[in-house]
Amino acid sequence: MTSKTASYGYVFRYVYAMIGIVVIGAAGIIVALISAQQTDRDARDRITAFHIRSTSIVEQLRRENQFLSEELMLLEPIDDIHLPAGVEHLHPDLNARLRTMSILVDRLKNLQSLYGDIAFEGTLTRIDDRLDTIIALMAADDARARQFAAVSMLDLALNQFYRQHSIAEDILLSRIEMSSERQMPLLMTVFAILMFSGLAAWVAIRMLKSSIERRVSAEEALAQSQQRIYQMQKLEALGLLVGGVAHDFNNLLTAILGQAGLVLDTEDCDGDVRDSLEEIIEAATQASNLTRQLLAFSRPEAQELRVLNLGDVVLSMTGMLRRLLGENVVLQVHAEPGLQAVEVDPTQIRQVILNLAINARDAMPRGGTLTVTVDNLAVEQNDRAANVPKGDYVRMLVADTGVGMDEETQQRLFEPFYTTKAKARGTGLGLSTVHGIVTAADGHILVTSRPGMGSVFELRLPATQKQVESSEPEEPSHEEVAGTETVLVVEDERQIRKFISSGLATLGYHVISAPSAAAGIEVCEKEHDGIDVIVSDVIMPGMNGADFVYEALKLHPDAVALFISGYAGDVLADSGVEELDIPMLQKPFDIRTLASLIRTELGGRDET
Amino acid sequence: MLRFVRGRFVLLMLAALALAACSDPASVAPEAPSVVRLGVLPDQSEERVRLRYEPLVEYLEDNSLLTIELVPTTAYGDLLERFANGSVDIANFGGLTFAQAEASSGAEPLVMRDTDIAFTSCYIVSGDDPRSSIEDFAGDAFAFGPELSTSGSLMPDHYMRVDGMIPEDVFGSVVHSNGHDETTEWVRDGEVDLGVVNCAILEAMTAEERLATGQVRVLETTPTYGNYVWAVQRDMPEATRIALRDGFLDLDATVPEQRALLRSLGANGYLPAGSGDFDDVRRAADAQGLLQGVSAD
Repeated sequence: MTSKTASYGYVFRYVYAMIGIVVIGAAGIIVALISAQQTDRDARDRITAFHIRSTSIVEQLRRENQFLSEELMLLEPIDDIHLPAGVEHLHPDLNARLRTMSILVDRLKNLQSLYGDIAFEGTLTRIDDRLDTIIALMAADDARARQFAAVSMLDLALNQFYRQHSIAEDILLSRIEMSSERQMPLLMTVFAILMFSGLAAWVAIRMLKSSIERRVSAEEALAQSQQRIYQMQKLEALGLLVGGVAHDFNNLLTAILGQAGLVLDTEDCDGDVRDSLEEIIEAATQASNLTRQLLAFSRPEAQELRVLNLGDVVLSMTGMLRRLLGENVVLQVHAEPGLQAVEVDPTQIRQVILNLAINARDAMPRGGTLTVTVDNLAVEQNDRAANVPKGDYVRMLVADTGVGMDEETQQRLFEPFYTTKAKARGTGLGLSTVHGIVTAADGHILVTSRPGMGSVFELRLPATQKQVESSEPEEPSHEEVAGTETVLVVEDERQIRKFISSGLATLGYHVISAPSAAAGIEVCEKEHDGIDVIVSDVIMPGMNGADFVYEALKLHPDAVALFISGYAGDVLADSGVEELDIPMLQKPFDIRTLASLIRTELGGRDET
Repeated sequence: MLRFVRGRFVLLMLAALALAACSDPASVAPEAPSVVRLGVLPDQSEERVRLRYEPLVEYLEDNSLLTIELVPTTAYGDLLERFANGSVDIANFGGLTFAQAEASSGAEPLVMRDTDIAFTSCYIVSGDDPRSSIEDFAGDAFAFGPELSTSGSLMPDHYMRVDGMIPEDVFGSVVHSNGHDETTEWVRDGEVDLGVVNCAILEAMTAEERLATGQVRVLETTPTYGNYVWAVQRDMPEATRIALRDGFLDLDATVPEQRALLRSLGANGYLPAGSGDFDDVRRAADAQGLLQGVSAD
């Protein structure tokens, strides 16, 4: 984890902690407020119920009092003389009414005692006293007017109680209401805090998620890039190794093929000797092809670049590809109209297509479909993961429906000699060659595959604005390449030197050979008759080919020079040959190719 | 940043706790006053006022064991001002002055006469006027009582407007008298066609034979409303408040001397008074802008 990532984590941990505390605190306050609201509701219900019960009793008392008043009016006038005193002598209805009222008053007092915090005592006492006054007046058979007045005062006391009760209820309910109203803004504030916290948490989570995704994406891209660099470094190291071996082997093959060819051209060569020589030449040619592939992988081979239409190349190979793939594999070729041109070595690109087709065929032992699609591709942004810079490309997709590849196979796919095929079927150089050729052409190759799901090889070759060239030149005839000019051949490899000397002599040239650059300089100094052509190897012990040719041309400024080399690319670039603008012939070559190049360089000069 | 967030959070929590604490503010009860000052309206001469209220003061002192001082005032405004500056502890307000005292200094109703709970104003006409409704007097001369009188002006005006009658639009002329007696005399003497007065004062004038039977008659009465009230300071101690309240409520018409006191006060007895008794008055005063400029501190 990087320090930046660590600081993100630190901040977000605390952000979450703070949000958590706020949310928990706010939730606690909300619970408390809701609880308080519930308590208020309970108190409100209790007060209302209490008021209803009390006023119900008061109403009964007032009704009884009213009845009492009415019954008093119906009674005969009091005879102060004859009627005996005492409540037991009261009219039975009055007596019952008074008893009922006493019971109701007691109930009222009992009910109020449950709510000691409300000051009803004075009023209750007054009701009690006035009921006692009525009973006393009745018992004493006091004047009817006084009895009526007492009944009236009891009614007033009951009214007092009723109003006092209503006022107390209003005050209590009002207090509860005010309390609830005060709680609401707090509740809303806390709710807003909760909402804000929730929103903040959501934003924080989004930010964190985005940050993690960016980090993971960057780490994946970095890992892919590192893996690619590692792979490229490995392939480059292998290329150097393979290239060195192939170069030496190539020199030997050049000599074998050259000498065998010279012998074959003699008139005495016939019968079994000729058959044997042809076998030798065929075997050497196969070996040469193998060497070419090795060199192509290691990129030492000089490319003969041509501007062409990749779609035309693929279409021209259709017949050959069908024969190669066999009857079980269906070939589909699509080339987008208006394809841009690419600048590649046509021979090499054909080899790429062939190798990919062979690889696909071997991946489809039970048949399948091979689809080759060529189209234009515009890469808008640098693709660092695939190491593909932005620009216009011509893309070739080679897709098969074969067995596919696992991750490990894909990782090692382009390594030379790595193969999943049986020993008799594969050399392990096919895809290495493809990789080498494509990379040398500044192209890119991408592979997509899963076991059982087939494979897709995607080649991206840089598009060029140059015009597509016409078809390749024809092989020159013997007469066209023959000559009589003096040719100085400087080559440290004896066999090659001998092959060239013999071959050019056969074509009529006067050949002087030297085994090193120093020897070549000596020849130039001594040969006063003139040297027309200088053919020199590039990489030699002591003075290299470029320095030699530079010196030799000072002594024979009219001569034309040619380089021959088994190396190419970076090695030759270091040797300085590119600065001299002198043509280069890639080993191995046949003598006619060399002679043809000589004639081209001499530019139709009259033979001397 | 972390410290900042943490600091804000602590402040927020403290604010929340402070708000929660505010939901039930504690009040500190002041000590009981050594003397309770009882202010009364100047609806009569100071001598008559004293004659009327001295027995009440004596009764309350005997009944509540409080020391009570009678404070006659010179005008409605004087009583309001004395109540507002705390030089009166309990006062007998009319409906409007109570609403104003409540708005300006938080007066709280204590008790009112049984007759004040359902107070009415009487529309009176000359005894020989045959018309039977207020609408019949459209275009005629109309007299209210004093402008700040609850029964003579505020509530009749309010109820007429509730019924869609704008006095200034309906009647030919609208005047205000200086008292209910004067309004009654204007109607009797034909100076106005219709007047509105305190029904209790009208009955008193008839009972005291200051008005001969048949000289005026009651055409209509207003809906009932709460009027006169004994109100106390908001911070009056609970014990004092209960002692005063029970003193009034204990007045017993069956006790001869108390019956005389009740009669002099124009009551059969006293009832507890609540803020709700003055909803109509408060609404009327507010509608007429009489509570503006007076607000509780």
